[in-house]
Amino acid sequence: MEVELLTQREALARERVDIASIFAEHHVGLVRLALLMVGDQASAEDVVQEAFARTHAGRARMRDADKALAYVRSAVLNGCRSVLRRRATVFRRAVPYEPPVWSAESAVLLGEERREVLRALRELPRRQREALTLRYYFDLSDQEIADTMSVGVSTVRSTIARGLAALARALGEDA
Amino acid sequence: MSSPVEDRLREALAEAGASLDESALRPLRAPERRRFQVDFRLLAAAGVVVVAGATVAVGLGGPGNEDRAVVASPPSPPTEMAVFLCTPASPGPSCQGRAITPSQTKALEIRLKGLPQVETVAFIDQATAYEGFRKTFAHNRKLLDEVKIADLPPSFRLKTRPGADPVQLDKSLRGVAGIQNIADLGAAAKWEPSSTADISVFLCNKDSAVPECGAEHETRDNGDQWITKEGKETTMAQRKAIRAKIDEMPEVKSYVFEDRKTVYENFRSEYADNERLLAATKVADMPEVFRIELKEESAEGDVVKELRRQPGVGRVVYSPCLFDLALAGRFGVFLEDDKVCTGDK
Repeated sequence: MEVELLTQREALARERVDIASIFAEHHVGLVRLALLMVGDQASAEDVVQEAFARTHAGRARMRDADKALAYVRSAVLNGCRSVLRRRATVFRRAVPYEPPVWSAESAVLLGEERREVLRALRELPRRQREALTLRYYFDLSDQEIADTMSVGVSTVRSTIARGLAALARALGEDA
Repeated sequence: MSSPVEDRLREALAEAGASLDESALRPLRAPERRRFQVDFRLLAAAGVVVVAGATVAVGLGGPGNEDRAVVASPPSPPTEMAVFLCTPASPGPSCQGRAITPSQTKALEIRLKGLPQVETVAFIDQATAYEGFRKTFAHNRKLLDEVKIADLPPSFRLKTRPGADPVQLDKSLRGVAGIQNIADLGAAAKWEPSSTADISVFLCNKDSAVPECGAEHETRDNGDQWITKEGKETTMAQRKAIRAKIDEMPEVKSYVFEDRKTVYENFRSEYADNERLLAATKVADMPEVFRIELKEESAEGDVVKELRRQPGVGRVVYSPCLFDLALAGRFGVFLEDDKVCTGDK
């Protein structure tokens, strides 16, 4: 967390690409990312809006367009983590929260087979879940995922491998 | 060479991602700018009717986020708008202390001329702006002393076509490099004193953002101000002490105390036609206020200073100056009210 904050500030000090425009351009994609993380559209939109509000307040600019996108994605991921953390504390003693996308009510939207996969994905540790989503939904490269998650490239590779293996176990398949 | 698990994962994610209802997607909203601390609704409550485009909708005391939407005039007859350009003296985060470059100016002019809502575009340089400023504020020495020619931003004046929505126009230009702010000049500032009070003493609300109420602000690296600690509501004892203080002031001719409800009712009747503004304002947003009328020949300076020192007092506003303050916004100049309003005239 500390490290992330530092790199963000460092990034803000640079110039060029307007972060706000990145948000506007990738709005739908970012909401999708958040949706896959938190499971419902309303929370997903809130996460993106909040991340946007934060960076836009600074009229942040960045030198490198690729880095800026990674920065924006990681801001959204961060917001998703907060949402999930909040839910975990609020619902710790109550019934487990069932987000709509993979819940029973959304059976109309997604087949049982899909929901099984998503449920298994949701059970994975946070890093594996994020890395798998960035890879298998957004088709990001190891390097892009590393930038987004602020971890090393090799960590990304091993995280994805471990995530896939765990997923396969959960789904009763060979990896 | 992808495994069955990878395929299943890919498909499940694709389907879940596709379940996003794009048509229901709420657009991103720019955060309100809390930098300028003149509270529009406070202006209104003090009896100045200012209908002046989205830019006068400035950061407000309460924690809500709706404040920014407030002063939105409906799509309307042709109006004149001013696009103020960045100078090194520009306030707020939009310019970051840098003047607009010649190439940015050129690009902006082309862009403005290309807007379908815009009829004509004219450039007003600093000298012309300053001349107008001096004429407008000939009665206010202090203000003229405070504002130098370098403080006045140059601007593009736009005449819009009939039916153009100033708010829409403002939105479409938001974030464009080199723009300090945009003001709707057509919706003229009117001076309609709804109360005869010379001085309004606003008390503190719960969670107030006003520093006098104990709120603390932090200036971020980018020059933006954020509230780190919210202020406290005026206590009964403080209110009593303020009343006693006013009672013993020789300059005061008469005064009344208005509670939130009264202030809100006045506000409502004044803005009956502005739904957005009313929807964003609750009774609890309104501060309690002492309205003071001074004796003729009494100077307001000492009274204002004395009252500002009282604990529990949020803002003390001398009405005639407040209007000047709002008017200065029409020149792209934003000032703290005590720079213009205290002391002798």
